[in-house]
Amino acid sequence: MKILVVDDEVDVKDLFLQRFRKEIKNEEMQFVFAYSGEEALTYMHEHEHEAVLILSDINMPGMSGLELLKHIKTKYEKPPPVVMMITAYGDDENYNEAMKLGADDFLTKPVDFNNLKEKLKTKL
Amino acid sequence: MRSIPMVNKLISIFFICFFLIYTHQVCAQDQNIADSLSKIYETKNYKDSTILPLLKDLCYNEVRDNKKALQYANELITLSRQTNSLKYLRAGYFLKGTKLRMLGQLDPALASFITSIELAKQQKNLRAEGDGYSSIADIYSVANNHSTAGFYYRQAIQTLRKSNDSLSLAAALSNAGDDLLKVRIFDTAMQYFSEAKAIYEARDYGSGIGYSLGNIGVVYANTGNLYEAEKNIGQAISILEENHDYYPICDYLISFSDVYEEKGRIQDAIQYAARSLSLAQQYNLNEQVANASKKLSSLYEKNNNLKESLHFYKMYVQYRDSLNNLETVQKMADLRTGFEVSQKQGEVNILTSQKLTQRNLLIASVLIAALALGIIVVLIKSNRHKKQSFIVLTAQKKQTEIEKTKAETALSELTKTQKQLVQSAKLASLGELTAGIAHEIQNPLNFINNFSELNTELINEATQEIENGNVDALKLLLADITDNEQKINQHGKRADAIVKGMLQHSRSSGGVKEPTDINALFDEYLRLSYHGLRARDKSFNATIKTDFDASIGKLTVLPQELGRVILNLLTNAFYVVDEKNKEKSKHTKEGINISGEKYEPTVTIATHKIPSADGGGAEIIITDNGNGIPEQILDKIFQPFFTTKPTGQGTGLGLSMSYDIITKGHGGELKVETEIGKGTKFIITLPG
Repeated sequence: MKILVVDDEVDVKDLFLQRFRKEIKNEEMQFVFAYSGEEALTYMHEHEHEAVLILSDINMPGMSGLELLKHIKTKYEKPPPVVMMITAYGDDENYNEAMKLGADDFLTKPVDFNNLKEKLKTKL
Repeated sequence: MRSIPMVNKLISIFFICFFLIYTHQVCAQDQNIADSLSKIYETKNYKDSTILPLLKDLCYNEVRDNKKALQYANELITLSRQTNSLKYLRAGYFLKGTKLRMLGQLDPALASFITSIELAKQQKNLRAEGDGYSSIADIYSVANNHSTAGFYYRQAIQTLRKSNDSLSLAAALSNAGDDLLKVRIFDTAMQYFSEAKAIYEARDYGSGIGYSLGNIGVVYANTGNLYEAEKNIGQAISILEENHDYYPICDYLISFSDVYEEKGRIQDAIQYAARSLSLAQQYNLNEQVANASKKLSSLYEKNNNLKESLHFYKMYVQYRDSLNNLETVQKMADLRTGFEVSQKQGEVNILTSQKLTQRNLLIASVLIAALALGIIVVLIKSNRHKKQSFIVLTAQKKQTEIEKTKAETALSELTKTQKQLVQSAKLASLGELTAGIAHEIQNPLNFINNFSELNTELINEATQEIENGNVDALKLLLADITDNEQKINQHGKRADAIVKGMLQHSRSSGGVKEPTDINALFDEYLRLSYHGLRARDKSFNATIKTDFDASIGKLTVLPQELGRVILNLLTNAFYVVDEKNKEKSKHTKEGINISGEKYEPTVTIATHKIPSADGGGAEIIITDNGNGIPEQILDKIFQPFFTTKPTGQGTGLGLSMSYDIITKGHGGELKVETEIGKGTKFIITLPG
């Protein structure tokens, strides 16, 4: 199962790789990383339907996480991948917008990885 | 209806005039003395050592030609400065102040009094210092600035209390009380008048006692204690009658009439006004005749006795002409309030007067009063036109002063508001930053929390591997732990820097110049401004390009001020590209287009080293691909409060503040290049 993590923070990669090291080792999960919305779309273009779950930050330079979400949910063939949003702004506006655009979940930073792990397991 | 305070003001003025006349025998203000002294002066028939006292007396006694008197005062100042005679220098400034005041030049008069006070302080002359304050207070009182007048009267009283000069103190108290009556602060006025009365009683100075009693009576009348009012004014009248001083008696009687009229006791009011009239007629006091007859006319009208009312109205009209002329004199006298009589002279006068017999005194007083009246009549006749234009000029002068004060107040208010606005612009930009800061802090916190939790897990695993004896696995784990620790540390520092930057940003003052990595500084502010905007406007989007020249190294700058400039310029750049983007998408009605075919909002920040002999400076260029700035507003963009943003969205201070920070704060340049439809470039040049 491949998960695409989209965040402009480079250290997110190390964090996920370590946090999910057991799952990665046991080949339960596989992670790929994109540092911008554009990069994520490019990846999805090149590796169609590979990623079944996308974890995306909202505030990124260039294309925002919400635009990415909108794009995925409107342009991709059914069934579109599961998209979970992660943001530093846990405000209602961001939440409502994400839900309206079809986000499957909404998490706030700092990320509670135990919680995230459970969510990932139920979503998949 | 004449107000009581006004009556009292006139009394107070007359009191000063009377005081001058009364003390005439020694060396009070007297035009005759001035005339004879001026002969001595003009013929240079004096010894060099006597020139200063001569000029002082000449100036002091020259009451007819104030311009000439002013010349004497200036000459006295120049000569005493040359001979380093500080006492005369001080007297010179004091006299200059009084003469300027008489000429209606109130501002320079104030300046002269202030100088005289400074000199008095240096010479530790409390009496002169106090008189200076009193004179300043008189000016403010005449100009109806009672709060300032009150302040200076208090200074005068405080200072004069410390001096041994009780008569100066009494005079200051009387005038201060009079000023308080105008603003209806009766309790303090009463204290002042009572203290003045006690002083005059101790010095056995009849007229002073009379005026104090009259003033006290007026306070009682105003506070509704008619019994005490009548008693005090009654005593005042009898004392003033003894001194043949009828003018104020007439005024006191009118003020009584006012009080009874207010109480609705019209018959009593008529009685007092009639007494005033008969006294005024007896002594040919035209102004008092006019006042009393006008008063009677209005009282009879209230009583529905229209025949009597008309009779007194005719009388009033008859005296009005002469009244107009008297008012001229009055105006001049009005400007003459103060203490022209030096205290020493006052003392000598009192001592001298005590030695004289009552009879001599009376004769002298009557003669002098007659002489003074004669001078006034001559003055009226010969200077009628001159005086009328003087009235107009004085009024205009006063009006100009009022307008000037208004303008000055408005200006200071404006300056204050501007300062507040600059501060609020700083706070507004802090507000813009806050959202960005929240985001910027959550990210490092995310890493700090998670990596530290991870390390706990990894350490447990490492313990396990030790027990297993698996050294290779242990080494890998320890390497991971070390990496994570570094990340924790690095993100901790990042959060720290953000908070520090925020604190510095909110500080109102500039701070200290320090060597700063400006590339790092700009990068930090770039992130803050971008995320700040993103946090406020979800639809906002722009491509950011950076081109930092690493060879710049560190420049000595004010980091938070420079950060503020970058923040302002970037916020503007993001704003314009966003505007253009919204405009375009409105036209095309397209959704999100990732292929880059349509308009792509782009902001670029680039730095370049400018090589020079002294280490080199830097050029910072911020470019946007917005709509550009129209030529007609290009020269306005650095002006304070100029903004093209909708009301409430921009303070209009961002660019003007940035301009000041770069030019004044860093000796650099801030230039703009723009092309309509293509975009704008802001170029900052910082010296090395």
